[in-house]
Amino acid sequence: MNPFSRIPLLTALALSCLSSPNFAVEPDAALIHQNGQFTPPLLIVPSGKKVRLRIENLETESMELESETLAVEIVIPPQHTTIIHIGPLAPGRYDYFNDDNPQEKGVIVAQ
Amino acid sequence: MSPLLSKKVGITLYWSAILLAESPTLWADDDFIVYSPQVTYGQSEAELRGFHSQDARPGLNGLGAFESSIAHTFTDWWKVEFYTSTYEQTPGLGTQYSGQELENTFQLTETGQYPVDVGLLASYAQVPIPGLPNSLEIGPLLQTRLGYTEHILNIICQKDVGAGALPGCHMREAYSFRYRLTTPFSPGFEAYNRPFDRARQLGPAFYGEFKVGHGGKELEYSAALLYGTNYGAPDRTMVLRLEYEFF
Repeated sequence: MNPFSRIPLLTALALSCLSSPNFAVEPDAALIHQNGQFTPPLLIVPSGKKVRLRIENLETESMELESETLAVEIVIPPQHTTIIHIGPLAPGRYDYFNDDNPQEKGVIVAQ
Repeated sequence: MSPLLSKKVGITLYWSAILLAESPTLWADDDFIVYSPQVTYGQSEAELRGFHSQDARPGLNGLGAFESSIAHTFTDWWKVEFYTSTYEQTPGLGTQYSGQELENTFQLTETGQYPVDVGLLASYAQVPIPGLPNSLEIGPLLQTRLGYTEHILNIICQKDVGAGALPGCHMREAYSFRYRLTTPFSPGFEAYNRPFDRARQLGPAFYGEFKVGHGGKELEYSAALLYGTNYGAPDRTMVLRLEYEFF
């Protein structure tokens, strides 16, 4: 197989992901990390849909948001906002925490 | 022997060793790493990595390389990594400085926005040995997480440039699988395919990270033992990577 032929195929695959209409509009949600806690401590999001989650870290140190049930592990720089996408989530409760300071915890409820 | 003559003798010996080896291959260190498309704004890194191969064939036994690099992520989507030094071990010729490299990682999609996170690698490596080509590399980086497992695939095109450049684009693929058991230790495996060298390797790997103090400082390590599955690959290759991340 001509090695050059792989590049257009892979580009097409990548672009097909980007253009998928299923992800054109997603509900928004936001978390704020400040003073050693997450606000809101219990975040409600719609189940069965992808959710665009804004995580705003107002602290002067980075944080690492981690959740095995959400399949998320992401570092948020200090005084920075990072956007990730979670879901679609089945109805239920999903715990997360700051891996840099594990006593800082929160819950996302999908319903 | 004059310095110029000794340099020519060195180059001749170098190429002789390559041509006489049963698998005439330049084993660049980049071949044994699987790049993630995800970058973190404002984060800096210092990295050391290397590999060492064992094989019953003299031309492949003792092949290896090690390199150091520093990196910084300047935006939410662009990381630059500069390989300050790369050393290659060639059977019969010892260890030689083999150049520097500037590498860019572009995160093209937001994390989790699509079933697969997509990024792009683009790099340029400069080889200081006269008569040997420099190289450009470009290719997609793909990553996805399914439950407790993480999968990363790189498909890289390497193109020689300059004196001694071989024609065409040399493709190589790298894949890693990780089962997120615990943060300090996660098992997995890695696979590398180098069709140009007729070399295919795969084997177990493990990964881990440790917090260092406060402020987002972290030490990450990974190691792999790769077994050659066809004639062009060494029997065994041991890979070790250490990375210090900080803000």
